[in-house]
Amino acid sequence: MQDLDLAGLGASSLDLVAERVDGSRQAIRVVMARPTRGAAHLTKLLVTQIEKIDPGFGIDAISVAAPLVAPLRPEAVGTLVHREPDTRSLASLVDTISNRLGAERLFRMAPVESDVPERSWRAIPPLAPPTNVTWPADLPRPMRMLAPELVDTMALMPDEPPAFFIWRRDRYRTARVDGPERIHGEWWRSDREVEAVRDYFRIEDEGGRRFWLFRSGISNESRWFLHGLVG
Amino acid sequence: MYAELQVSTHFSFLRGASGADELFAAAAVLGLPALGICDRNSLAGVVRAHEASKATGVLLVLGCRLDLADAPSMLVYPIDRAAYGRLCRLLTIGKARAGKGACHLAWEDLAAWSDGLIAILLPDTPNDGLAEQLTRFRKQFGNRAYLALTFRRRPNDAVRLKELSRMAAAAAIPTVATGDVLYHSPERRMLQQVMTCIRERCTIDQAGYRLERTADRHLKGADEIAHLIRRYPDAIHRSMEIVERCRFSLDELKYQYPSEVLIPGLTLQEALEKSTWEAAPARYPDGVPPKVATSLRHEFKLIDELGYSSSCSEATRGLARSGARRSVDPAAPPRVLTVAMPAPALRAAALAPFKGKAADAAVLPGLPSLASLRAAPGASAGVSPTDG
Repeated sequence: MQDLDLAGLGASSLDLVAERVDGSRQAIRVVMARPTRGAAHLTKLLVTQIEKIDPGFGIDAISVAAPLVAPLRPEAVGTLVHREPDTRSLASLVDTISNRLGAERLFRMAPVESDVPERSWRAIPPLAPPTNVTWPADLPRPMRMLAPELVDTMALMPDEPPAFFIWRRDRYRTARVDGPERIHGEWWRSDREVEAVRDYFRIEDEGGRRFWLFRSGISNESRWFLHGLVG
Repeated sequence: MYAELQVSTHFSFLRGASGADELFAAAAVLGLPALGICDRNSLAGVVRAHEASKATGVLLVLGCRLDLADAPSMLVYPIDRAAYGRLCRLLTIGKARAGKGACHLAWEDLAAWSDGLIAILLPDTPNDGLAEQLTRFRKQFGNRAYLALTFRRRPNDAVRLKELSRMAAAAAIPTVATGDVLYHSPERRMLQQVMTCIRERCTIDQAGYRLERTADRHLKGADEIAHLIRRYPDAIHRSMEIVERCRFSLDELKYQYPSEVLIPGLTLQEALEKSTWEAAPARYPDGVPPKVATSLRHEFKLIDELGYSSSCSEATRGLARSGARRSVDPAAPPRVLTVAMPAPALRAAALAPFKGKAADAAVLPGLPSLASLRAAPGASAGVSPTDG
């Protein structure tokens, strides 16, 4: 820690290597959301992982190394939320959770400029600086998005919403509708999207539940999917 | 019946993705009776549209989309020749002000030249600001004001159209259905998006929201529009009302010499005849030969019948000038320019106004000329209308 302090560096990740008496080595790695050299915080992160090490017949030596370091000057700590005094503790929380669940499972969503719902966001690290893209206010999207699930339904062409649909074996009768919202495939991504088109409808059923359905294609062979739950 | 009144051709540079020929051909196939061509701040596309209209039999409603600095964009359609002139003037003002390739116009400019223009306001979102705009709009354009209802296939379209139609009713402005067409057929969307990238100087991957936010911009038939805007059948029928009201056609345009009064109290024809007869004795000091006099009378009759007296005004003015000079310098050779320009030559000059010189037209091969006049002494010297 003193070395880091003198060099003006913080550790972005720490490797703890245990050398067992039988000559094998076991390692754990913790990754930090932002560089740090706080001994208490780093100790806590390592302690939560220490149980992953199987001591066997005993451990001869433990070494700790910081393979990834980054400059850590006073201002580098407080950039997440301006004038927030507890940035450091948020970073500690992020470190604790992501090191327990796995780094790839803890992320924030950032908007992407695409009308295709699946492509309208991307995962960014929890403490990444904000992007300057925002979702357009005139494109309301459901609270929960699902992977599109095929539903059974009956609807008139070309632009009519379904009168009812069957999703996960339950039947829902349409009471109110908004739509269609037409979304074309992004033909520059793949040849299959050249012709692709979806017509989205927000549908409220008789029980007041709201769904986000789309019809794929505008031919008579088009199929219907449920893509999200609204509000 | 539905006429599509909001169509951009590729003269809306890097926005419209189809030519007038394609659009009119598609309209004919779809059974649309008329297309309203309105490129952005420009009438440049109307000649092609006029030709395409003639070729397909689909009526052209000639107009223009005006993007105003301080008001919503509008489509304007001149109802007659005079209003067309005013629209041209308005565009000239905007383009002169903004410099090359741009056009800067504000509401005040449009208001000053708005006589005889039917205007369709293109609303963005219904809000309080729009209500104020509508009141001002209605006051300026009276019964020539309309509000566009466009189904965009976007979320909340139904609510938006309902609110717009309520606000229009409150402002006593009738609504009219439009399609905001950028290309004649759905598969042109890709080209249109590539053109958008060129305009925005980005790649298609970077384009994002710079691509058209409403992607459904091809020409649609009356059935599809009737289905999309089914709650507002009046708005659909009103498109035909506007077609009926806009009677102006490019056929009405011909080259027009400025009409001016050369001699107070006389029409141009009378002034022409008077000046010629006054100048003739100077040309023929021994008296105008009967043969020449007959020819002159024949010419005057022809000029009168064909209505070319105004196009002779240039020549007549030259005549007047030469008369004036003669009064200063009696020795100067007299000129009888009008006499020297045979009627067929005049006709050629009128038909090819940009050829400029009647002299060029006079020597065009194959044009019959009045031999008697050309044979008259000194007359051929006067073929050049320049004043020496």
